[in-house]
Amino acid sequence: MRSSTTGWLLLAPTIAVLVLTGVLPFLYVLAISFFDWNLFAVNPEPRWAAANNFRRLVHDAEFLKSIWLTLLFTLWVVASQVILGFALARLMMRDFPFKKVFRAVHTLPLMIAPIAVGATWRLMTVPGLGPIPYYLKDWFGIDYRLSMFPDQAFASVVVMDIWHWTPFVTLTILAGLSNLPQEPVEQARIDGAQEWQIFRDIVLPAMKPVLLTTIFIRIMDALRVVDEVWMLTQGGPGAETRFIGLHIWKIVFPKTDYGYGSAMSLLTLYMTIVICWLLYAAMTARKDRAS
Amino acid sequence: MSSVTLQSVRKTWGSFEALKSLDLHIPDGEFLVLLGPSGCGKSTTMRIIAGLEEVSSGTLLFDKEDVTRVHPRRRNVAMVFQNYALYPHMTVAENIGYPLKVTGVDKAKAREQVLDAARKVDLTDYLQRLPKDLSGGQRQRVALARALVRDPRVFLLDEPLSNLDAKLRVAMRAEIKHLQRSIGVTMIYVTHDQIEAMTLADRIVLMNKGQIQQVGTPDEIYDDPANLFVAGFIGSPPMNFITGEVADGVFRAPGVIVPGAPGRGPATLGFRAEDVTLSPSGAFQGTVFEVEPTGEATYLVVEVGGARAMLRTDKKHRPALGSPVAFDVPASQCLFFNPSDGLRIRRPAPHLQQVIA
Ligand SMILES: Nc1ncnc2c1ncn2[C@@H]1O[C@H](COP(=O)(O)OP(=O)(O)O)[C@@H](O)[C@H]1O
Ligand SMILES: [Mg+2]
Repeated sequence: MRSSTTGWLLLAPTIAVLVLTGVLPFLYVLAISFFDWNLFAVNPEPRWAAANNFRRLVHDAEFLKSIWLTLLFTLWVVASQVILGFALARLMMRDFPFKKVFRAVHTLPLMIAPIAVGATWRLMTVPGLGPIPYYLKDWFGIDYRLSMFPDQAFASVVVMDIWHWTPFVTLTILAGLSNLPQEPVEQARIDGAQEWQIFRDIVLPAMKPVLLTTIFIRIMDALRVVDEVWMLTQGGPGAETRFIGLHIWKIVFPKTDYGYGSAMSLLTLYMTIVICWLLYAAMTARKDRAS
Repeated sequence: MSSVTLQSVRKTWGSFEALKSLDLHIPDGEFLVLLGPSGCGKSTTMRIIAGLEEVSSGTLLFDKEDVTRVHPRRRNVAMVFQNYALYPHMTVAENIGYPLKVTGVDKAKAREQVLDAARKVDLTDYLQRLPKDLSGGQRQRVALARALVRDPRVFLLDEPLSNLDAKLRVAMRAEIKHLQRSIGVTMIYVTHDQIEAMTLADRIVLMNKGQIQQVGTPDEIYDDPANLFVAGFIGSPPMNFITGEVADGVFRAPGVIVPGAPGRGPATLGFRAEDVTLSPSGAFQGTVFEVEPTGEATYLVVEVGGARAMLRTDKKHRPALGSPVAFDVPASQCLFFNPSDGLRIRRPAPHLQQVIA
């Protein structure tokens, strides 16, 4: 009995912090999402709105568009990062000249704050000043103007995110690869498997937990991207790179529509959970069907 | 199935020499055991034969074919790792069938071969299980079946039994031996357990520090060790050693006088516990240090000639500690070694002895 009391006591600080920083704010947002609350409205008091905020969301074309853009963005960046990250991690499992230098340099983007990343890319892409528009014009004859062409803006945001976060994926996959037991791989080699068969049949399945975790983290991050994109495009041109995070921010702060903003946040959270759950189900179900 | 030949095979890592020029020929169908203490280079030898390590120099032949630089995939060897190296996410059937799958064997035919291999190791009831749901012995069988399924040229087993409990080890030992006899495959078996080596091998290769110490049948290795290392490694309890001097054909140490000794100068006398007969007038005089009954016999630890020796005596024999004990060892069972290089000092062959006399 005593040991269990001691256990709870030891856990208490952690639980307290979790409740204070995680559970309470969540409950607060959950509660607000059922109220109309706008500080600068005629009536600045919160008023009970039942599910009105959520009903509004479903018909909000701007919101739906931002969700669609966010999903597209997430798909692009996560897929690219996982493929690129895996390739880089495999490369770094080998020995090559200046490997240590390469590894150090390649993780630099991770250490830069998102705001700074956005600012850097902004500088690099300003027409008439940044190198990117200059060389794109010079070498490929491409007229590169973020503020004019939605596709360019979207692609730039995607490339920036890939540049920023691929090293993270590389590092987690590298950690997974270096912890992989070597015997099954060697066994497969003796059993007559080609290198691609070893990758498909032995390495990938063994890497599944690491991959899943990495993909989840990246999906959650990508779904709530704000600062870098804000710095680079401000969500423009128009609303063509206005992802959910940006959209919520635009609704909540300039318009101080707290209830509606909370409802959006909750829906986004719900969406994130559903996506991760579906992915998990898909990746773990395959084996059961096979056998 | 093929013979395996290693010619001057060396393996170094940096300045560390793991194998120092190994020469070995393993005829087709032989059960060869690589025996030696941990770290002596057994696994390295295996991995070189399998192609998982490259030789630093030397040649490896399967039959007459030089396979030194051949990729492991093309060597057609089967290997069982110490920890079995099963594919954790594949069922037993998929594990056993993997070598067939990757080499593109027709599916129906593969299924049949998998069943066949599973039957040989008694696994047919477990084909749909995952490795994590099997016992140690069953995992071992899966690894064996996976090796059996594809008719390899050479069968390599690296300490395959060392993760099993004692009872299972004895049972699997017999099964492996039976298996090898019945399919007649060339098998190279690594172990650090001399009992396993003695019971299984057609021939034993005893290694130490990257060098072959002796190659021979279990009997040869046991009865006719080439040096102190072999004599001390093989046998349980290990051979007893007493150091002394040989002069005029007589070996002397405190309380020990053995005639018929070869050579002259410092020598180490070796004899085995079971070759001892107690006799009050024996050539060896010592005192009882400890008594160890094992049930089937009583072993005496005796202080004799400045060393401790184990003597095997009758199970009923229980002398008092510290009491004097005297014993004899037949001359043919007294082996002499050079203490400086450890090599055997052999008696000249009988016809030479006559010439000398
Ligand atoms: N990849 C390696 N790099 C450096 N040294 C190694 C490597 N593999 C094995 N060794 C060394 O080679 C020696 C022989 O190893 P091994 O063949 O595994 O011995 P064992 O007889 O126990 O199987 C050991 O001293 C070991 O530390
Ligand atoms: Mg070993």
